[in-house]
Amino acid sequence: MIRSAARPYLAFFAARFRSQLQYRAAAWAGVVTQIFFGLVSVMVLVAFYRAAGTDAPLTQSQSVSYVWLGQALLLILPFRLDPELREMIQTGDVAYELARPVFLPLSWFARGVADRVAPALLRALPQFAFSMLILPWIGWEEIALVPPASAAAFGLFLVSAVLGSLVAAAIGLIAAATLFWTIAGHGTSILVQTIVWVLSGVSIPLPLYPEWFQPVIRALPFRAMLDTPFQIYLGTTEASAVGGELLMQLFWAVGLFVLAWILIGRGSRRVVVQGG
Amino acid sequence: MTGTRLYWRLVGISIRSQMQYKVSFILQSLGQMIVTGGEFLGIWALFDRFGTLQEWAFHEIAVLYGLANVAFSVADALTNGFDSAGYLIRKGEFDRVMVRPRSTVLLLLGYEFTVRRIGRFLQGAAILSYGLVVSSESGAPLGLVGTAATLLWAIVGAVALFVGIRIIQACVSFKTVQSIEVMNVFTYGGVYASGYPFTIYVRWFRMLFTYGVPLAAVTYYPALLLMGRLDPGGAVRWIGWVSPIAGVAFLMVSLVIWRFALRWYSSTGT
Amino acid sequence: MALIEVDSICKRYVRRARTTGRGAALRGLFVREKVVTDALSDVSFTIEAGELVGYIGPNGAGKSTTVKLLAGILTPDSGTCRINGLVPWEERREHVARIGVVFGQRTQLWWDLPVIESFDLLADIYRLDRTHYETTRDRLIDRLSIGPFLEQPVRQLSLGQRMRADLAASLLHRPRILFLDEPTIGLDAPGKLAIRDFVRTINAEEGVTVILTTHDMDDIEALSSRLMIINSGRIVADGAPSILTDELARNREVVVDVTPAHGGEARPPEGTLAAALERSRTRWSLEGGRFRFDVDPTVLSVPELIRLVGEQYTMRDISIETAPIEEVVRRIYARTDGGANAPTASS
Repeated sequence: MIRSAARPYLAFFAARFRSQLQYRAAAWAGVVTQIFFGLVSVMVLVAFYRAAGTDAPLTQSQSVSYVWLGQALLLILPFRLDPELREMIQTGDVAYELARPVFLPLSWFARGVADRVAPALLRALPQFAFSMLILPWIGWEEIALVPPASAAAFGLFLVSAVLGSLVAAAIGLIAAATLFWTIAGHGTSILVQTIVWVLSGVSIPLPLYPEWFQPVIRALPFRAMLDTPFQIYLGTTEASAVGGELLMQLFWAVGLFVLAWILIGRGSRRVVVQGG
Repeated sequence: MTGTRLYWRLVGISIRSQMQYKVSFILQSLGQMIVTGGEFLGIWALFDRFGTLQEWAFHEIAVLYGLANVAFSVADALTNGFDSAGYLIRKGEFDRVMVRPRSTVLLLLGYEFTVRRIGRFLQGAAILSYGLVVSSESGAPLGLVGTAATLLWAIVGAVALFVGIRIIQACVSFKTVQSIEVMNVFTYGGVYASGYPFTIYVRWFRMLFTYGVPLAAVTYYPALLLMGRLDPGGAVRWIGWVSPIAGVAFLMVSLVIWRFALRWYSSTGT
Repeated sequence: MALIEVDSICKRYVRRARTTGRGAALRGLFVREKVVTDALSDVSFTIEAGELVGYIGPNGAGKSTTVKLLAGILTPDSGTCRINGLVPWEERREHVARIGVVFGQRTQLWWDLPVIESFDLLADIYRLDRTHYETTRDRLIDRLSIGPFLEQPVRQLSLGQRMRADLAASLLHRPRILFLDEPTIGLDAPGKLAIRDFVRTINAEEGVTVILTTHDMDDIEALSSRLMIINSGRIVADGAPSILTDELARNREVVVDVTPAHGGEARPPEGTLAAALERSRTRWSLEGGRFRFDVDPTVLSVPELIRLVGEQYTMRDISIETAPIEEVVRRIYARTDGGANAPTASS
């Protein structure tokens, strides 16, 4: 029963996933680029740590690993609005989509997850190989990605990363849904891009922001995309707290999805009414 | 009509075209300002936590970051035609450039002057000003005229360098469109890297960006003069007055490569 | 010396393609296969000043490669070409200042600018003398009836208007040679007529040499004094458009309505008729009592065919038609497909 209900969405997910896997040359280029940005970030962090030697909430090698993880999974983040969705909403073609016998928010959500996870996977593996294996092998342990805190931590990291990509897809969906109300969509793009950049942990590891800012970070859903899985990987989240963290991610994924659902419902009614 | 006058003509037309979409222009400019602002927030947060970056202070990083971003935003605005070369080729639009009795470089430079880059420019300029003011309060020796001249010369060199990188990027896009993202390493990556003093990087990385793509020559060394300090690596003080020439030289080399790439394009018909 | 001299030009494209099949996804990361296409093999022709040449061929036959070579965009692998005494790809800038090029699918005007400003800008790009330019421009505006939309941005023009503006733009610098690549594509009937009319006029009255690629056979019939057909990178026919009419004169479409002798559906041919059709390799079809024969009279004469049909069926009506021009061209393509082994029909 549940399987047959989920079937169109799984099929949709699988189709998008496969088509995303085709961009191999782009993936190589992306890997090189992201390793480069990772290297610069890491060298900068190491320089900061060397000078200060403070009691930062992350050790140097934890910070460095955090950066590498962030580069590897960068594409999960909802930096850009899905261009196809954008066009569909802006041209009003979304009306045709509404006529299909699927639950629109869920099929868009499936598409959002596939579009993020597939390219991220394609790029993550070579990057892990580089930052975890090649760097120590050429004698650069100082800036290498450390192995996960434990086997269990790694398993939970994977679960958490999947949940993180669901949160990211839901945020992307909310951003797209705002296009029903704004003409250009630029405003949304900019806002999402900036917030994601600052609050997801790819600019700098979130624990390194000032202490007074930490409650704000903890209250917002953006850390649930990357920061939560990373801290599980590094073991900076206590084992006893992991369950709660995963639940928190699930809460955000579901809650944000419901919010996106409501927005899409309201927005598409507007389109239908306007379209007469 | 001379090349320079034609260029200004094309720039004028391009600006007028963009002003037909004012809302979009304003939003995109603001957007770029906010996005790059978010980037600098990270640097600020790290200083807030660690205090210094090796022996470098926050305002010194501001000089480097501001200089790199100001120069890149100018180059970025100038070179949209080269940045879009891959797209133009796929659309067959590049053939239209080829059937004009003018220099292809001139026509591509005139393809668009991207005004919305002013977002990054203003943000970079604000941070640069902050850095320069604090530097002068803590005794930078150049004075107003000296600072202005050094700054201008550094910007000329850096813009030339980034334009050169974009031209080479366009050459690469003749051959491969999908892998073009790699060139971001030298453009966006270059800006990012030159926002910090090159002394914090490992040796091969410093070598690459000093002798290969001479970013250090157009940002780091002139910035040392602006902030009134010596290179911990031991370079002579006046090097920053000479080194921006490397950016101009890089541009010249890229123009030669462009000629070869054009010949390659016309012999393969991508 | 002819205006355009093309001598034994060869052009080959090498493309790296993805491998297909099992495990291709993984192998594709590392290995790529070379695919070689001969876009042009040993192409030679000359065009005299004042000619109006129709250049046709199926998609991918080498039409646009030829035009790009003549326009100085591409360099051939071997062979030579002189236009106005210049080698296009070696003296590109001098060369393109003397030619006009219109790509039907893409505009050469500035999307957001009024038409008139695009013209002015082109005058600057081509370094035109102001007074000369203004005379030429005003005449073109007049002839192509551009006046009414002169101040509109190009993005607001209809396709027909845009095409007329594009034609004018390509002639502002008074080129002696005009390349038109699919100039009537997508236009409605009046739009096509206007373009054809204009092309004929500038060719006849001002002696501009025109090379026109098209898929529209009406363009050819209405315009060309000479036809070149390219297929698989070779010129397979070159001459007066009568090369088509010769072909036309050859084959006949014979349509015969028959009544079956015993009622019901007419049965397929048998006996002598079947043998004759077989022997002459005549293509035929039978549908609802109507025969269609595509017959070459030099092999099987039309009276003979009709006699044989009459032996087997009761005939109600007969009509004999010449094949439409598209069909003839299709036949030339089919006959000349396969590159090297194909017979080269030349004038």
